[in-house]
Amino acid sequence: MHTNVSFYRRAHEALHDARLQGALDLATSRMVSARTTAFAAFPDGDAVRDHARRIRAHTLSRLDHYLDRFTENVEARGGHVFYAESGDQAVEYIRSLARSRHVRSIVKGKSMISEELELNRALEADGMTIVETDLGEYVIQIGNDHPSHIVAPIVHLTRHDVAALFKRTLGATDAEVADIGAMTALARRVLREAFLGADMGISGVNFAVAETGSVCLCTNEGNGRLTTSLPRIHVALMGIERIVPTLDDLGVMLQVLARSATGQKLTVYSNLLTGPRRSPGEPDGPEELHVVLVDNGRAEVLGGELAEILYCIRCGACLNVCPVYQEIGGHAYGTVYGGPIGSVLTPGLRGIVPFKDLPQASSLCGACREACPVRIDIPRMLVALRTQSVTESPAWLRAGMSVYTWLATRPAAFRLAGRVGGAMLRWRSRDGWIDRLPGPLKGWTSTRAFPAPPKRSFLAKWQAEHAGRPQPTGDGANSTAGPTGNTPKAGAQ
Amino acid sequence: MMTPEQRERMRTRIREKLSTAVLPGARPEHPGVLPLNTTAASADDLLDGFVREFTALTGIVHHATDAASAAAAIRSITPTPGPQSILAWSESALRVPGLYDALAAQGIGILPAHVPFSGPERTARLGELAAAQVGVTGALACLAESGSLVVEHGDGRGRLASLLVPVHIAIVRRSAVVRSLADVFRHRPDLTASTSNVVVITGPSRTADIEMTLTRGVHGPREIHVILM
Repeated sequence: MHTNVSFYRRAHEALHDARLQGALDLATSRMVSARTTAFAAFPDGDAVRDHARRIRAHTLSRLDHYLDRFTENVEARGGHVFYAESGDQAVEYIRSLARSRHVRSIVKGKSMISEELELNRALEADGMTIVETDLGEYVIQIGNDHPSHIVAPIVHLTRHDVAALFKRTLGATDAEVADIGAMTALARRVLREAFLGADMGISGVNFAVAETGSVCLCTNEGNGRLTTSLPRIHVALMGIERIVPTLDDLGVMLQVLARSATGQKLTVYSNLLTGPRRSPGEPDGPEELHVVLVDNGRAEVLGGELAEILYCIRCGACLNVCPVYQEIGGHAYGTVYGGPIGSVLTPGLRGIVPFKDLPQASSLCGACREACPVRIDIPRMLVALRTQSVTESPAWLRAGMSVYTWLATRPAAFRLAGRVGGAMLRWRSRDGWIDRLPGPLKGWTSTRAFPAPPKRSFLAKWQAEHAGRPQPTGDGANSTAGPTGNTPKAGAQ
Repeated sequence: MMTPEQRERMRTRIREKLSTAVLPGARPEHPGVLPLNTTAASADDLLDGFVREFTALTGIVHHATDAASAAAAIRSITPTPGPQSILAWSESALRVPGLYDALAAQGIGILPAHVPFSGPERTARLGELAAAQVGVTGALACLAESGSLVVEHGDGRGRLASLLVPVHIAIVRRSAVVRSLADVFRHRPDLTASTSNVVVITGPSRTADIEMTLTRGVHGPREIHVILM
């Protein structure tokens, strides 16, 4: 869904959308406090998080082994596994499966990876009906919109928006959209029909257990269970990194996922599926299970310095605490995965060049790393991406950067450049302020003015004032820079 | 089936990438398991904990001693009066001998649970099941820490009885209460060997998608009850 409109333009629009600002404030603050409360009441929460991180790190370091085990075990239970190197291969597999089984209607559970593949469009082009069944995703689908949060896709809409949409697209009566309860009941009725008539259910996967060949889906609504229990074919789409080794490891992950995502002790339905229905004894469940292992750039990410982003369990906690996400919301990122996680994952999966602005959309404050249930060091990877974006940036920018590097590593040249630059800036200033810079620098002054630099630099003053005094050394710096020495004057410039 | 060539390609590709992967904190050996919380807790403490958590999730607890009192509890929970049909696990799976007869005496019949893969029988069966108001299941375990029910589906234990209906009732034994999900997984590593589906249910179906406002029963049951035997 990456559009041609620049990130800055979208962010700017989001910042000036008063309604969106209200919705984001409400949603992110509630989700942050739900998570904090849940972990405060979690005995040994820190130890469990550390353990969860160890499980993720270990699993990825032996991903070849665990994918093999998982594949064997799914097949031993009568399921099918397909490894899709690209998104197109995954889409093609599902399309031909649907065609060969004469599928007409499909229900879908919430799955970020299906957004990544733009699966719905391909299946609709084949004349199939495909219905999103998570309430938020359903609203997105009928409104022709995009999700704005990993776990809360319609945080950007109000109840009035949803009511208007239901009236327009479903022909709902006033009574059916009178309040949130009525709208939810209406959606239940409409979607229940879709479930009962569907030939195929497509779901995402939260975790896949290597030793048992199970996939686990977490939903609060129960649409994940209906999608995987009613239609005669179940297709489970998962990124290759979703694996955990054992059932016990799954238990650890489920605990931290629910607490981090919504502040619940466990998601309402943690649904563990191991192969298709076992006939003749089991009365319900699908006839066929197909697990599609989607690579689509993940192996590439695994092979580099961004591999840690694959520890992610998609809880959305980093979005809620991010001071940038809190202000601009998910749409401004222009990608399937918004927020801090997306700012690393998207350039990782699809290359830095079209997404070079995303790693810049961070103050590197570290709130995401703090909130992450598996302690992913997102700021480290944002910095790595910034470095990469310099080496892959246009020639003029690279030239500028190498000039700066040359200057910054030569003190005499740096001081000279400081004097020249200072003089030029003073020449551009009016009444001691710089409120407009030319050309590519104008962004710096579009929302603020800078004080003009003084004639004598800080360094020059420092050297003058400290002439003849002993130079501060190491930890002793505090004792030499006494109350007379430093900050008051520096601050008054 | 994944072809051997495809499998080999996946393996080779991932191995190749692993040789240059930067994976902070990764150890070649599996990190093992966290120690279980083994603080002494009596069966009564665990039961109290489960009831407290389950009730906090709006679950309702009933008590019964035999088939007749269990059937009476089910009748009292059933939202619509009069004779009707409900979804239920097989009598042996529910482990309450004589329950079906006791329910029949209350005017409650049991729908056939088997869902065919195709054909007009499938449509008809799903139509019947979807009209039911109540589903009765057992549970492998109740979790004191989170108020959850661990429900193991399988022969005579259909998934839809805890899913399709607005009201879900689980009949459980007091001895089924354990502390946490970790206890279940630790003591039943073979859990998935005997069934295609195990679900851990923690409260009624819910959504907060619209304006972060909690609403129950969006797709699954809006009410959840436990009958303690």
